[in-house]
Amino acid sequence: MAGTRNYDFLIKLLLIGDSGVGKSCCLLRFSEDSFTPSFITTIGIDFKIRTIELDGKRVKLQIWDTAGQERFRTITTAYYRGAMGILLVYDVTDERSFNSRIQYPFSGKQADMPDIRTWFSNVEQHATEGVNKILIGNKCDWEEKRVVSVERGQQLADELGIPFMEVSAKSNINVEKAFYSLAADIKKRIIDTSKTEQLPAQGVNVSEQNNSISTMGGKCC
Amino acid sequence: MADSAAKLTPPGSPTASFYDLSDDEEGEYNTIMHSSSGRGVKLLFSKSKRATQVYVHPTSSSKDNIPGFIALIQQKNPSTDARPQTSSSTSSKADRATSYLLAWLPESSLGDAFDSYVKVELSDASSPPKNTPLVPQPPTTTSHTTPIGTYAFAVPVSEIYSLLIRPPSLGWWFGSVVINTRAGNSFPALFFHDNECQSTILQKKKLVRENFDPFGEDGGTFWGGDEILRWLKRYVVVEKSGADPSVYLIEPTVEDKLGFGGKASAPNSPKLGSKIAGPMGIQGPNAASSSSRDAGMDPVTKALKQARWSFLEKMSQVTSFTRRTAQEIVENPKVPPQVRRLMKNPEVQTLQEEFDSARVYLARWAMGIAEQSERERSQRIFTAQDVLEMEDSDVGAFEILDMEASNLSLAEKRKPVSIKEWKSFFDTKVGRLQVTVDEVKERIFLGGLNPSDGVRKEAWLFLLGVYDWDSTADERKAMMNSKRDEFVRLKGAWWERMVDGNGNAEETEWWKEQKGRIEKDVHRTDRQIPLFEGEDIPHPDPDSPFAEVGTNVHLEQMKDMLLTYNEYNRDLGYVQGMSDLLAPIYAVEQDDAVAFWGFVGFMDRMASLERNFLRDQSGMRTQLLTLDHLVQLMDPTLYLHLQSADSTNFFFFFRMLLVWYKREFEWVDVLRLWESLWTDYMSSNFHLFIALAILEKHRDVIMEHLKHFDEVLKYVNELSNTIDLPSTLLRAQALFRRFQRTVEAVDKRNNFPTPTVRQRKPAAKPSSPKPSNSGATSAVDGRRRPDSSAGIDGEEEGKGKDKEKVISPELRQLLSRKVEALDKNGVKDHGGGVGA
Ligand SMILES: Nc1nc2c(ncn2[C@@H]2O[C@H](COP(=O)(O)OP(=O)(O)OP(=O)(O)O)[C@@H](O)[C@H]2O)c(=O)[nH]1
Ligand SMILES: [Mg+2]
Repeated sequence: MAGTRNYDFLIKLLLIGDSGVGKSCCLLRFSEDSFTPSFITTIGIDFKIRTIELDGKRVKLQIWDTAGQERFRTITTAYYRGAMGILLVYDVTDERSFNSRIQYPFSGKQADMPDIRTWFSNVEQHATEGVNKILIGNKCDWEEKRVVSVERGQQLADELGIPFMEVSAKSNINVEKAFYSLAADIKKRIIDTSKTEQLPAQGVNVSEQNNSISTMGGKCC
Repeated sequence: MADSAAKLTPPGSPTASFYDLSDDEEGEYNTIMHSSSGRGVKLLFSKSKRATQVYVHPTSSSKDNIPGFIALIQQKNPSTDARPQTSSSTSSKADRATSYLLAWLPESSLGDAFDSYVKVELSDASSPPKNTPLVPQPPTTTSHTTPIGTYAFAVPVSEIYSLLIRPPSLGWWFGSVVINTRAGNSFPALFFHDNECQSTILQKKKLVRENFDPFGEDGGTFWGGDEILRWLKRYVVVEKSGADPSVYLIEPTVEDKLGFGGKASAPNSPKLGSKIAGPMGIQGPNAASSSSRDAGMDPVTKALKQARWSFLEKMSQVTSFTRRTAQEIVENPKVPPQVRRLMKNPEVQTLQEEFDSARVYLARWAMGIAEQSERERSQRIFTAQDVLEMEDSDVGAFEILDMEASNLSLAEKRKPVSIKEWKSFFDTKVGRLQVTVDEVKERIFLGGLNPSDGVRKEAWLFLLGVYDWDSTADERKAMMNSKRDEFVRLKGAWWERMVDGNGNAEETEWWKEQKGRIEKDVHRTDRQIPLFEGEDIPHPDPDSPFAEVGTNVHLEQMKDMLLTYNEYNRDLGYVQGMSDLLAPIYAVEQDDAVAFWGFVGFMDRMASLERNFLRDQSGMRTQLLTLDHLVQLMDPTLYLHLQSADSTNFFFFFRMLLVWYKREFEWVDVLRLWESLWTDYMSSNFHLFIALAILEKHRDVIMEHLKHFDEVLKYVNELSNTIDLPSTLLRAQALFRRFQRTVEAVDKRNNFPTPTVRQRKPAAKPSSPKPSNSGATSAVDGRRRPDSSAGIDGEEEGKGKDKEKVISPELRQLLSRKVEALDKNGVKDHGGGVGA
């Protein structure tokens, strides 16, 4: 990767949340400004890129999209490590994606769809310490089907101590804002502080130009 | 020796090979034969790293490859007439054999002579240079004692018993030549990196110009090894072994010929090349003129090749790819029109964002163009080339099976099986299979099933294990009836629990959750296929999130089948990806009960073999690990690169392996691929060879352009729907055979250090203290052939390194064609499917 880059900073983000909450749709909306209702399920991992401008700096966002089903968690958690920001997504029309307290003791079964709290503790467990997070309630365009109120969303976010936003990939509500605000928080945490102080430990992935970025992922399992 | 040599057949005999044919053109060959011979030796031919890329690969690492020259050298004036005669004077050829040396000279050992080697190598074939350069005599030897490749050696041609020639294969394996001496020694394999070689490319062009056959007569491409044989043929008798077509005997005796099973059965007349070009050949004047003008390379490829690298280089320097810069590039007159058009494509604009520059995309795109023209060219001679390739290659297990299975020619076998042919497999009375299962599987593996005559409907049920191969028609009917009943029963069971509320509250809740997930996935599965496209009926459940958009009857059937599978196999539960696997089966069977049992068969195999859906992901992990081992063994150079790019976790194959390439190939190709894979004809893990084939196809672009895991992942993910199935299948088959031989070679090496099969081989132990010799090299050294002791060396001192040569159990498993069942306890041991 010789030559100069066309951006000043690279920030890696990760979308997590139950299957079907609309992670891929949000990403598609943000990166390509489009929406396809019959989008395909995500298998494995993928990422998209979009370069935005923050305080006059070109910030390249590399946004990783993962499969939602709990079954694939061993795979997806491998990607937590390199992330600097994580979007925890739930579906405002799907209670389970937000809070699935129901356990299934009758056959030792449990929900194969972890809720936000489960995702959050996964993040605490596997991601870099101090990683920025944001809680996202998607599909807010679909009022008739809404089961999770804005208040409950906000309450949970407060409890977890992270920012919150309701968005709609379909109607293009707040999607930009969500990504921008997370990126701005990260920039504040890592980049702006590293100019005056020592580079924080978790900030090694970001520096000014010509930085070769440590690889996300690595060995699974 | 001389007497018998005199009796031997000159070129043009039934043993005629590609090389014999080429003798006709000898006059045009680069001959550097002139009188003066003072000190030193005359350098007749040389092939170098510079021009021909000859290497010794002492280890698996490409870094250790030793570049050098292979050369034919004449010792001091033993004969008055240095100018060789062609076929007429074989006895004088034999006399001369003593005066010629076949030499290997590492570049580093040449010193001042370097220039001479280069000069001779690059001298124009049509006009020999005025002077034959004299070069210092390399040390003459008949046995190989020094560490591989580091020192020069020159073997008197009279001491060479045979040459083991392995042509390059499908654009991946380097061609190689191993010198076996009469004393029973083998020299390290010399590899021809022809892809970087100017002289071979020139030669290739010439051949194409003359034959319109870029593949040469025996189905292989023209390569540097051919030329070694050409050189030798000018001075000595070179005979292709009948027993093993990869062995060329030098000045063979009568016994040698008998020992090697008499004459080679060469089905091809020397003129086959032109025959191929005939009936299937050139289509229209354009093709003919372009291939003759540009030596088989179409003008687009040629222009692109010329412009490509400087262009790409420029591209990678573009820091900010604004519209303006794009415009500048587009207006650059050096940019070929294809690229110019491409630059205007909005897709490129996006992609370049993602890669910082369009370099990767363009590299892949350029490869695609090159390939398309390759494909168009090979289509003209596809069948013949195919047949030749398969039949001419050495006899591996596959070819043996081929021959045993039936008398059909390979070309016939690669035609899809029609319903008519399928019916002919069964007797008309009771409808029992009257050919062997292997025969049927071979046909399906190679040819696939006719996509439009309905044969799949029935055949898939056999492949998926719903029907027994030796059942009668009545038995199948009866079995399907009872299966239908069972399907209805299973379907009723969950329906009762979920809808009628007969289960307890938790259970009902759990089923609803499962239903919700299945529904979400079904609505996101293959909706571009007409069958699943419509939203024409109202949703049966007004509370469903999909009540608004509507549904269609096939989506509803899909949901029911998946829920029924949940009932059938509660331990596994529904896992994402299952809807992807069911859709094609349903689309083919078009009957929910039948499709359901087909799906059960598929999942049974998945559960026992690939174990894709276990909760702890152990099955996927094993597969990725196996792939890791496979790449390590088969392409160590690429493996090293992937290692340096942190990509040896092979995550980028996760999706391909989980849903069997469902997302990578077009729908129609998926059906074709799956039916091949279900046959377990070569290996029950053949899908891993598909992965390897895809990787190999893109290895050059990957190695050159992709330096980080994210780049590799992105690149591989974006191959989706761009992969050509027929060539991938062929490549995978070739890779499998290669793999098989490699394992055999390694086993042989480990079990029988120096077998002395033939009397004429003294027990002289190969004495090279060989550094670690990876599988790739072993494959070369240890190829199966009659003189099995030749070419396998380095056991003694190499013992310490044996660990590296061990074939892992994971790899060994790839040789199996069995599908062994993992029982339900096995599923539970791995965290089960659903519950923890
Ligand atoms: N009404 C509405 N529907 C949405 C919105 N975003 C996504 N959807 C729908 O939700 C479904 C799932 O969206 P995806 O983006 O594929 O979900 P995902 O989270 O990526 O799911 P996995 O890949 O399985 O983990 C799709 O069928 C979309 O049509 C939204 O903002 N509003
Ligand atoms: Mg997704």
